[in-house]
Amino acid sequence: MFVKRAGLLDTIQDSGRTGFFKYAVPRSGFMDAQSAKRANTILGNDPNDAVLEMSIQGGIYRFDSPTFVCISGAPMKFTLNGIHGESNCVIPIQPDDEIEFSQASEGVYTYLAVKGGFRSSIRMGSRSMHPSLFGVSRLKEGDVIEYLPIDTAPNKMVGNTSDVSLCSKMVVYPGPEFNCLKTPEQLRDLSLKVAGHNRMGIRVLPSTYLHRRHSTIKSSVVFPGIVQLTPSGELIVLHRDCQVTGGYPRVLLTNEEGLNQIAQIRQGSTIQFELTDLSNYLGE
Amino acid sequence: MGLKVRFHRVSPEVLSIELEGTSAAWLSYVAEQLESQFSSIQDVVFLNGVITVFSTELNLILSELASFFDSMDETYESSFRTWYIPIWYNGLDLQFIAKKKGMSIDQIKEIHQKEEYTAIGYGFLPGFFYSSGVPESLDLPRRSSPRTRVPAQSVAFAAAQMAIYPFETSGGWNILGTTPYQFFDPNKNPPVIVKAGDRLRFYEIDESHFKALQLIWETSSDREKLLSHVC
Repeated sequence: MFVKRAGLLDTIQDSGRTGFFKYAVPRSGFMDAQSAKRANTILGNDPNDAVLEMSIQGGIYRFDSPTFVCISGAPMKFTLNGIHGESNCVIPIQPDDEIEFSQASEGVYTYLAVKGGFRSSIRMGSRSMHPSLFGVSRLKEGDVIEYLPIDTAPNKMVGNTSDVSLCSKMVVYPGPEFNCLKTPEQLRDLSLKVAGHNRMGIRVLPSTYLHRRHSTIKSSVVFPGIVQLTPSGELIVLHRDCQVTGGYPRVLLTNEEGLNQIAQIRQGSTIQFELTDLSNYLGE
Repeated sequence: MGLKVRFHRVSPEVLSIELEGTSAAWLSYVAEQLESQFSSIQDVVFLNGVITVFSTELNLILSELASFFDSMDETYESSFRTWYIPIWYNGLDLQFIAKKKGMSIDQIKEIHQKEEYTAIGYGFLPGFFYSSGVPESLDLPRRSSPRTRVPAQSVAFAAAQMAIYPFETSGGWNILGTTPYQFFDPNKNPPVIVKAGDRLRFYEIDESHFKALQLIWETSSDREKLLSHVC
């Protein structure tokens, strides 16, 4: 696949790498794993196969050999050789076909999966692009991403083809330093505005000041799903490319579903937290 | 063996184990043991006396993990390597450090080279390791405003810890200089050389020596050997 024009933040992602936290290498992987896996599943791929992840604004991509693709995630209009295409279905591709994306009408991350998955280079067990391992943080015009040519149609996958969940209520659990929140009841009905958005974390601003006990702790382990409270009163939902250690109190925690959900919430939009007992999460 | 162990379940897949009064070298050894004995553990991280285990099958190994720590004692054969790291003292903060400490640049260099540092673990960035041993006569807090660009392979310190930046990034540590050696290589397995507990010694080189060593490092098939003595 030839990148004729790159989108705003195009990367190749699979389900990420494990085993390298000990060298401070992040997991990485699909920001909204549910959407990426849906695209793969519709094509009959392994759900963890590498896909193209686009953010807000997609690009123009030319295919040099026959295959099948599927587009899922944040709704983003696109054309195949100038004709409007449908998301969440199998699209046959002929050599020299071009797909051109416009802007996502809502949500943040849109995925393009190719039959058999992209065969880009593997670093430390994964194709997920991370600047420290690949030297670049995004795809650029002129890049070529390999895939295996296939001309037999995948079995029609019947499944849930519902679109991305843009639900604004996200489940959170008490984190290791939950006690830093002096009045956790404040979280109920609290409106949180998404103030910053990248692959490392999503910053959210509470509509009222969160009362706290003490604001710094010894540096400790963090991972995607941890919610930190910063000295300025912001919360950061750590995401796929987050560091492995952090110095802010880890007041809350969300699950895989919460991570997928908040990945699709745009800067400027608001979200609410639904505080739930940790025992529900642990299944006790 | 009277070792105080406390388990904290963080999430269905994450368990933190607090071990009182243990050294980074020992934590590193325990982390290795865990990885080799439990195939269902995906990741192990240790930091500040806490080992954190990541496993999608955590529930299935909880009791085994408990007995692993029960039967564990603190006696183990400590083995460490000493690495000799060349530094070209061209750091952006060298003048600032000297002024702050009321010393000449030569005195700063001398203090820096006289000390032996101990690696204590990875964090912050891929391949970024923290080391202890910064003497009070040299130590400074983090810069009040972080630099937006710290050059790759910068040797820097703050709050009693020494580190080498593996990439160009932003950062708030006080930069002494640059090493021609790269301590993180994603194309190698393992991608790093330095282990927690290893000792580090710095020695001064000039610009031309820096360029020569940079070339030698890039083409070397035995980087450990290059690090094992003053080149």
